[in-house]
Amino acid sequence: MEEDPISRVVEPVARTAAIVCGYAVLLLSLAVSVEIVGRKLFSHSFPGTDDIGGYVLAIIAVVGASYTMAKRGHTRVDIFLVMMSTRWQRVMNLLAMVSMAAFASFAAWRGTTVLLESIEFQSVASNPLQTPLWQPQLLWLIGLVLFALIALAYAAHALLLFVRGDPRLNRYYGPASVQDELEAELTAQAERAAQAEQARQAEPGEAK
Amino acid sequence: MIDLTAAVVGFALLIGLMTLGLHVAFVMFAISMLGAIFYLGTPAVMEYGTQYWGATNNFVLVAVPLFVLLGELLVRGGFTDRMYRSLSDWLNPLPGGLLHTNIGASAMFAAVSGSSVATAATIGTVAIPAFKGRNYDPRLVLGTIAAGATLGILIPPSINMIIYGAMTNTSVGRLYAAGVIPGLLLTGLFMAVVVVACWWKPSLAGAKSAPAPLGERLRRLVDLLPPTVLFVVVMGSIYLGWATPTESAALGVVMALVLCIAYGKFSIKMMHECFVTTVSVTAMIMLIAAAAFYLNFVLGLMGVPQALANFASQLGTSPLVMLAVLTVFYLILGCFLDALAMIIGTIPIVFPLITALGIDPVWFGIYLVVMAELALITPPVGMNLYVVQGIRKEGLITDVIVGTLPFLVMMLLLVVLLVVWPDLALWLPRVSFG
Repeated sequence: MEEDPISRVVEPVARTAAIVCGYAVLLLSLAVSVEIVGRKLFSHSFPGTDDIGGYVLAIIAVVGASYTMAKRGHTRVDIFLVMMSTRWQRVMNLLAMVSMAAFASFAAWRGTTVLLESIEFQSVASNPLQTPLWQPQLLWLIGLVLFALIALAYAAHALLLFVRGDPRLNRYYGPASVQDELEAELTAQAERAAQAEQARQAEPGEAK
Repeated sequence: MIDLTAAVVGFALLIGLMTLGLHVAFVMFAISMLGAIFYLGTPAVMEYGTQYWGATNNFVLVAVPLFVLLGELLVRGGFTDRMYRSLSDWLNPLPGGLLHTNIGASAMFAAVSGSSVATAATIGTVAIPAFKGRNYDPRLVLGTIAAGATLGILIPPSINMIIYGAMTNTSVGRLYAAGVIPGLLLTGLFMAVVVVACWWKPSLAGAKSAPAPLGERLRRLVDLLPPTVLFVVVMGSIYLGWATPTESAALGVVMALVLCIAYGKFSIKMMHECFVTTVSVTAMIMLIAAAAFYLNFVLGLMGVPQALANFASQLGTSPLVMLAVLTVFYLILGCFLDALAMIIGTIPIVFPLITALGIDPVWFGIYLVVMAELALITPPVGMNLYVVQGIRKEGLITDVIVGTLPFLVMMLLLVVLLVVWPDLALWLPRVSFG
């Protein structure tokens, strides 16, 4: 898979954001586990973890969308696309990028209203924490707007390549083929194996 | 009441645009927008933001990132090769020898992982080298791995079941319980294929290695502990009513982390890799799921579910005929759609139909998951076929496809068994949850 110039900029930033999101998922797991143990063993409950869980999911879903976009990980069905002529592939790849940008922009626009209404009506969650809803929604909207901006940048670049008749359009913005997905999965697998091997060597007791 | 032809045209458009290579999430969004604009007007269109927030701020779906993270930790935790070796100690004496270990190890990994592709990649990397120089029939080796791995989504936990449960308001705990017996049954059917094939044509099975001394085999049983303990905690906490499926996933993540540390496989770098994959996969699933929830919302306001239900009762077809039609329909769709996109995209239309005919939603969830399993190994787009071929790095993918065929027949047999004895799926949730 050949990486386009926009992804080269977006990927490292989006990756860092994804790692931060990962920590949120880990902390959530710890909080929920403590809550279960507290509830069962000490009959002491910390209410609200399920609401926080919902916020975490909503936020990581939009923040992660940018990284997935840079990695061409959003699902496309390529079976008939690969049968088309190069010219039609160019048209479909352009349409895919433009339609994604339109979709993300519309979502961001409507998302803005969600936040503004929560602020205007001072909405609070109907849970014991009484979280003011604008707080999680602000983070959610930031993720959504960033996703829309990135999708727009991809669409603009695809359009530019299309107008110029640049052959790189299909290489940059074609769907990740099964082969690409496979390579990604296998590289990850090889990394895991290497890590496991390292860890094994680091274990003195296992040397034999 | 809405004209059903509009719904049919919309559905055809949905599948058509997907196959043209547009993003699946966008296509679902676009079709629901068309419905909203033509039938409902501006308020339903403007409602999109609220619906989006509501669909993703959903505690049932929080289980998705948790199970993906749990699976990632397990894959990198490095106990799969030991688990494989220990299982082979006990399964080797069966006719077909090591082939049974592929199926058994897949089933065991499936019991802690919610994804079939992850199962195929993990078991494939351990299993394929184990067959080097043993003269097993390569097609049967590849078939057992590719087909065995599909158990990943049938044996709980299962990401596909979580999404089905969230979209149809079906209890995920019940779906999990319902998947256990069909999952074990399918494991047994797969093993039966190997036994019959190797009994009929002994040359299919390769050289058997001498069994390890009993003491060593007993000592190695320890290697089966990590997946067993995890399964017992995750499923047990749901069964005892201590935790919801989402909460049990959180417990599983913490335990998997402890196991990684205990086995010396933990590092910050490894954890970050897990995080990135988790967030990326979650974002991919949630973008499609959020669009599908909006489609559900629009169709609901348009009255499509009631119209479909009326249509189904007027048609007077028996549930049996409907299921036969659906099975053919899903087999065809599964040839070219991604398994998850296939489930999510068809639920809004198919679910009202089957509930109108009195088919149990929990039972239908299991049926749909088996259909998704079939989609994972039907060419040309069966993902598991490619994963296994990619690990093998030699020969033709046709070998993998031919090798999975007998197992494909067993999956269809499982569907028939489920239709004849619905209690295969429904008995366990009934006795567990009343």
